[in-house]
Amino acid sequence: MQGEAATDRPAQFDHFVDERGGALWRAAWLLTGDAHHAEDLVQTALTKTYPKFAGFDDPRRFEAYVRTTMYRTFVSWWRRRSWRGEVPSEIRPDAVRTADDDPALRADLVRALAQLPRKQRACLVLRYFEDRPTREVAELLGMPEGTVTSHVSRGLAALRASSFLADEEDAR
Amino acid sequence: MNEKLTDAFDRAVPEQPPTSGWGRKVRGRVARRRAVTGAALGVGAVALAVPLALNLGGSDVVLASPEPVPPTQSSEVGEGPDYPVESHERPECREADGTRVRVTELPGGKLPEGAERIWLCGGGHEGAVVNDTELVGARDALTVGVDRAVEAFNALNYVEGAAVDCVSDDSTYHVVVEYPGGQTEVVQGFNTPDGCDHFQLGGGVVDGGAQGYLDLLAELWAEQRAGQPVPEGDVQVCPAATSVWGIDPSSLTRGYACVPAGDEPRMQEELPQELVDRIVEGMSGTERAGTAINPTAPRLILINEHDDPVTLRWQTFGDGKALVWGGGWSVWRTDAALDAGLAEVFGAESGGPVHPEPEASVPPVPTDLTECPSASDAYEDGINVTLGDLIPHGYVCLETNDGVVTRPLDDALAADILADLQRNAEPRLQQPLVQSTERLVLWSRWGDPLSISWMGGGYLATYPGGTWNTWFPPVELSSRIYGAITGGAGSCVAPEPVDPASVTVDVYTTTGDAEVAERVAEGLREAGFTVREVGLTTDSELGGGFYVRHSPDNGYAAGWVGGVLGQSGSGAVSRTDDVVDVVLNADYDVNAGFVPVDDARPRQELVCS
Repeated sequence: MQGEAATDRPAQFDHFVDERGGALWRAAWLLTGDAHHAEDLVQTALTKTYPKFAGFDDPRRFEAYVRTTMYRTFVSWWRRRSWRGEVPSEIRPDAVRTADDDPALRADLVRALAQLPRKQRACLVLRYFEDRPTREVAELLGMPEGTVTSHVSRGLAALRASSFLADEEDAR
Repeated sequence: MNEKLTDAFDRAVPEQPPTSGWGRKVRGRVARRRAVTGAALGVGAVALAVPLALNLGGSDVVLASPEPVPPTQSSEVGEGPDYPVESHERPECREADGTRVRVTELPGGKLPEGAERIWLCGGGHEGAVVNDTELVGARDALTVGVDRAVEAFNALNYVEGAAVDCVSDDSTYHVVVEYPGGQTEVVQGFNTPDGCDHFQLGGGVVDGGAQGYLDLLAELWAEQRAGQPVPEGDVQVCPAATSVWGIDPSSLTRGYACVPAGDEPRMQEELPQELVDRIVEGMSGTERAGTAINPTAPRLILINEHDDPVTLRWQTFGDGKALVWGGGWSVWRTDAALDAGLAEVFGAESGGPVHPEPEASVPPVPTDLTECPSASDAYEDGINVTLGDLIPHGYVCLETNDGVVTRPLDDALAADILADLQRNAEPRLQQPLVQSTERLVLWSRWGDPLSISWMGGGYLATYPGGTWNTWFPPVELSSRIYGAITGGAGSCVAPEPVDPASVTVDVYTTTGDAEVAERVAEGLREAGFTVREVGLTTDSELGGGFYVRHSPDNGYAAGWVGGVLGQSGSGAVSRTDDVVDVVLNADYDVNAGFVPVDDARPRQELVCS
């Protein structure tokens, strides 16, 4: 990207988003449990990072930058939001299809993840959806490895205890 | 479990949506933000905290190294308005070349002791315009309590080698600490609305505390100023200046009009005192409406006796005029007498209409939509529909299984909706999109639509100016709206107020302090709740927050209990029974008071049929 004509950058950026936006959205969906929220999270991260786009010579590095910003934005929303402002109990999983068309699992997973503090949720998604080692999760979220391990451990324990995923466990 | 979780994640994630057009939207948002702030988004302090080893697409490991931009250098200085030649700020806030002071290296992230004075300076790069104004610090130096200020800073947590990861705003401030001999150290505080609360130093970051530190500085300055003589003479505030710390409107004593009304009103004309008094009175009783600032509207700047400024715009709002400040979050509708006074101030200088408005036109109700206008349609490329732009005309739009249905909105109802929406919509920060398939659409005077989602129960959500607003109209108006949506005679009624005795609460503490748990339980009993159990827990699965836990069915009660406790924290769905858990951990402020139970009562949804 760097060194190419400035006039190409918008088109390059659009191409990048067309190519990789969906993959970013999938992780964002697991974080937010909602298609609109996920789209908003991805676009917020892209808005934050677009001014730096021309400084990256490798789209994979830029995607890594966007992902980092996306996860940190997600955690930042959490810090800033007052729990009084949250809609506390209504969880309405998206009326969209999955590849396996498993709406029951999707609903249960959304409910179970919604129980978790956002840092725990972010750690679990990074560890078990993006398949990143603890060290990378720690670097990406800017926290010590021990803290990540703790969040993952607590998150897994909470999911095990979740009535929403109990059936899923039993069925396997 | 772990492998199963990976598999569950993979199976549960929906198919990704088409992303075509997202890039264009993002570029549009960035362009608009630049236009509004006139500042670079790429301020260097936004670099990533650490080099990151990241896995892309499950294949190669890629290091995401940030673009190397020094912390206070803007990569795009000069794109915004050419502000200002003269500045409100002191020379101590500038480098020798006239730019904003730059952060310095602090060994270990700690300020040396023995400082003599502290200067508070504004944010962003020199001349950065944030929310229509330049953020500035104090004109006077802090000389009282300097040691306290240094000590408080040094007590914060320093992270070597990190950089602040905030790009959305230039809402920052700089602290210049001066030592004998004139040596200075500079740190930059981030207190942006998107949650950044850090200090940027030359060699790392102070993690958290920037907002609280600004509050401490405000207290110290207030102590120092108490009883001291006020500065004399005029201060340059035009074309734009707003203090980095919040200014109590009632403390404002003087005002200036920046003239001539135009893009670069560098001259300032002192406002008649009676006009200032009237504005101050109005500002003190303002409403929190939230609207976009009109960058061409005339600008007023009011200052307190210590020359701390606030910039206001006098602009169209709905069918009248208003003074708008605080990034558009504070709006006060001006009356005819004040409008006449302001017109005289600006009109005489501008030599013509202050800011002519286009004639409103009413587009026809569309009949061939494949989907209803979206929340984001009001904030697209070149479009920025605010509440003040709306006209009392619109339509109902419903997305059904059989396609989109539209029908005209009665003009009288549209007028009532507009009036109540502008008066009572509550802007919210940091919320993602929320919309439903049942929407009202109001037109702006430029023919752009603003979609308003009926979320049910008399609760509506809309996004004027790209900002999430919630709106709870009165019961009678909710009934009419519901009728318009259903195409019949709708009726909404308020449910009977919930008796607090019907809410059952368990109180736990993770700190082992049974006394605190008992005190909280007693407070909740006095509020009228039914406290079932009080005890200790070693529950380690609760994370780091203070929680009021609830089931999917009793979120209302959980919000109420939490409101009575009056503490921030985070709700979490964690129980399947109907008992609300209050879990007190080390984050719980044991000195917090209780909020009266009726004051804390959450809004109950209306029952509409």
